[in-house]
Amino acid sequence: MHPVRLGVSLALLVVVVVSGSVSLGPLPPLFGLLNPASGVWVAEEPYVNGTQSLTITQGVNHASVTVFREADGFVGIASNETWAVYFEQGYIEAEYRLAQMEFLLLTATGNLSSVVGREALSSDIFMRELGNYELAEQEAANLSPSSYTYTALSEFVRGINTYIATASEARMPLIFKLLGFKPTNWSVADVLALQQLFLWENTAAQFDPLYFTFALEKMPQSVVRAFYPAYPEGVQHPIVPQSLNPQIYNESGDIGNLTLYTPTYIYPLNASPPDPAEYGVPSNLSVGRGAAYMDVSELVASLKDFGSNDWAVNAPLTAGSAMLANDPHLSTTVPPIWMGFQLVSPGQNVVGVVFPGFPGVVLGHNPYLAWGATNGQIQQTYFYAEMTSPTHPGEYYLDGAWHNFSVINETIDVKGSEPYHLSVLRAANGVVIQEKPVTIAMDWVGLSPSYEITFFLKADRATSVREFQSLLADYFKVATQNWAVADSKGNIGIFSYGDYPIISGGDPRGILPGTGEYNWEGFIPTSQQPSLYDPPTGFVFSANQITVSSGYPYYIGWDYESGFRADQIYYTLTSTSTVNLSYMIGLQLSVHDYSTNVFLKPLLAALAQSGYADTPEYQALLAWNGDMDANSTASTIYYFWLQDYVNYVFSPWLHYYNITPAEGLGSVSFFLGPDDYYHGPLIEDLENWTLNYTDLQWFSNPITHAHANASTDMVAAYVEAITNLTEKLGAYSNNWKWGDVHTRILTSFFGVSAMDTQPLPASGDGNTVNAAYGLTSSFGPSWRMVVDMSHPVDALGIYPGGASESPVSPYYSNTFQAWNIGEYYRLIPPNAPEEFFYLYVGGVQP
Amino acid sequence: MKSWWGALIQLLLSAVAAYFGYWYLLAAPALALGALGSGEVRATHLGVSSLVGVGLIIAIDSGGGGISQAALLSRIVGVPGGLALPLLLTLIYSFALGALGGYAGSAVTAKH
Repeated sequence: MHPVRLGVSLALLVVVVVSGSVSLGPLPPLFGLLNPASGVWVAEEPYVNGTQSLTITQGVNHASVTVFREADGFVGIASNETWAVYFEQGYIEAEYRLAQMEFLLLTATGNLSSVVGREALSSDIFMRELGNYELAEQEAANLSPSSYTYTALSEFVRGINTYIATASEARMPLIFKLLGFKPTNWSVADVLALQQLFLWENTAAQFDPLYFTFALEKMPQSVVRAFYPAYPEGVQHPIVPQSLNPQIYNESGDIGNLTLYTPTYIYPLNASPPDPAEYGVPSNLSVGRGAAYMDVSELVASLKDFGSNDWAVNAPLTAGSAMLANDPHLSTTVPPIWMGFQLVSPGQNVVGVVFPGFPGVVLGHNPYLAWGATNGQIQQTYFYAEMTSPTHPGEYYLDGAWHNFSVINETIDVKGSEPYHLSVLRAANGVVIQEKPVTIAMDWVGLSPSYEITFFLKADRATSVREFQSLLADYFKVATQNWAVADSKGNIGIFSYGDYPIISGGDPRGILPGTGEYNWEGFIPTSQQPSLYDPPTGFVFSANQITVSSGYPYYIGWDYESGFRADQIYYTLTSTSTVNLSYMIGLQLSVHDYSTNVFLKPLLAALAQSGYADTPEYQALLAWNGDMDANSTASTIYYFWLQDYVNYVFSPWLHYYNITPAEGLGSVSFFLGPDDYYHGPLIEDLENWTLNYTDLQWFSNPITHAHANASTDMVAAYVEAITNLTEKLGAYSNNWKWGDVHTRILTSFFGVSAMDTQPLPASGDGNTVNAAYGLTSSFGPSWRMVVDMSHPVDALGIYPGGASESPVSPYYSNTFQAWNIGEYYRLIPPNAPEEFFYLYVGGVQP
Repeated sequence: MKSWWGALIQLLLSAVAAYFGYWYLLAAPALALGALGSGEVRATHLGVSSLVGVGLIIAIDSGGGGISQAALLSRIVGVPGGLALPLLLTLIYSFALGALGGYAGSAVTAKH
């Protein structure tokens, strides 16, 4: 023996083994990550196109299943047994989207920190405060085991778990390997927890009242009235105007009792403002330092609805058939937030898209019915300042007496840290989201069990607009959407159903006192909620614009989209006597910015008056038609000018009234947040003032006391925009083309920038129907569908991305380019097996 | 035992270990071969054999996108060179495990 050699070699061996066995920063041990059999060298299950026949068993039952995988991101599943369809859907979702599903579930249940560390803790705390999992368990327990929903959910979960049980470690997603994560079995409650997450993320307004409290407190009432009218003055095309459904305007509601321009509760301004980011989804977080960057906020941002379009037409605009178009605007990610499915079983043949982790189809069509949704922008969160006292610890004052907060103790496991212990306090009027300096509770309509997932499952089999309407009334309570519907009998409708809280006084736009007199007293009856069925105009439409006319008797919210997309849809549909599918597609792909119909003419007049008529920039704007085309240089000038115009007018006022970044300046839409260009009331004010009140005092600068009017502000904003563009892009030239500064990108769902796609030059902006928000746009039409219900089998649709979540799969982002240039796919391709045409002419029952 | 026999055996065992996911145990057969080789089996040969055995399995297993995935790993971590770093690390580890195992084994039976 040679002890020195042995000792040295063994010592070195130990060093090698230890270095391969310990975690290196955010990375797992290299022996696992680089393992040739199961590590990074082996990719996820490949997505392969084609038809596959299977037999699935459930106890003594057997079902024949045909799976038809398509290149366009859709998977067809046909079976002679309905339960088998849901089983297979669960299996396939897990097969191609397991990481996405698991991360959504971790987020929903407040367990993300256990995988990614402290960076996700505030998200987890908030999800625990919402009580997503407890609610989901209640919802699961309330379901009858013989119900359709329970059958669908339990089979779906069985499919997921079968995949997890049979998939090798080698085929696990890359993100699991990077984080050392292993999936566990799913339950019915897990799917319902995802439902809760979906409902929260699609609840409009969310924390807006916390921020708006500062406008109510710091601005005189006259300024609040001017800047933030509860019902905006000017051109409006409500979803349900009084002229088309006067019945819902007849009741006496609550709005007459509310004080919408003064604060009902005075938040102590010398204290720290409530910080939703502390409780809600954290922003700008990164997991890992210098290594595996993951933006945690991206994980749920993709569920948020930032704006959408849907409309339906029938006679007299058509010969009698009903047509529908829908494009919900969500984050455009890879993997996409949608997965496409066609589900065929006795009595059912539905095709459309679904969130991974959900069974059925969320948006789509069947042989009888097509439906789409936009966010209703309804206020379904109310905030209460609870009265507490050191002499009554653990209690709050309500209706003249002290009551105990109910307390739920939670423990959150945190990767790399000690577990975090949390006591969630609940009052009768909501869950406590802040204890100091003021105890603030949030009431949300989603804090009680609801069954929106049942709505989706039953809508998939519905046969008429009326049946769909009835299902909505029964099951869709939270995160109210504007559901546009068209059926094969030629009927259309739009329904904004849900739980609309009623209070008897105070200002729900800000924080309310929690002492009882401002608590919810009930909800608006369904019969009084906004709806239209077969209006004489021959169309219904929504684009997140204001829901009702000014005479509506109930308060339902106030912060809507500025309405330019709605204007474009309205004028396009009212400027024709005949609509066909091509016309619907043309409108859905329109990149005309309707704000140019308002602003361009006065801008050109102001510029000409100020001596700019001979400049090439002016000439480009003069010759421009208002289309945000990628090849247009005028689009670039206009985009930056409009941003500057909004900021030029309002920024001095917000500073003058001392609205601080901590209070939302630059982050929320009504305080010039990053989305101010297309969202919110300020641009709507500017539209109204520029057209009708050009000499208003608000055009002047309150800080410098410089007197101004609409024209001088427009010119000043123009000069600023041109100066900035010249600095960035050089003197005016073809380099100013919109497509050179404005791109679309599919960002990684997991917030890992290395998994993003390459950006593509893109037309459109935040005001166009074919929306592409921001300069590097990762929000937009996450799903496009157009259907003529007289030939639903020919329906067209597309979602950007692909079926597979594996970044190395050819089906990761293969539909991106086609989507960006406005192509569509046949949702039921002609080469599909004949069972996929079941319930259509020529189809057979599976 | 002739050196090339030992190297061949190590290559085969490395490939088998890597195929079944036990590549981190490559030092064990190398240690045995080093000990049994009575100085005939060179540690560097065992290291190279380990490297080749593991490399073979990577070449086989990574066909369905593994190569691209390894390159993606580099991009995520922020290291230039695409595939180079994961491949280099995997091969260095393979070599080190085989060579150090062989070196330790040969030390057991070496005459002082």
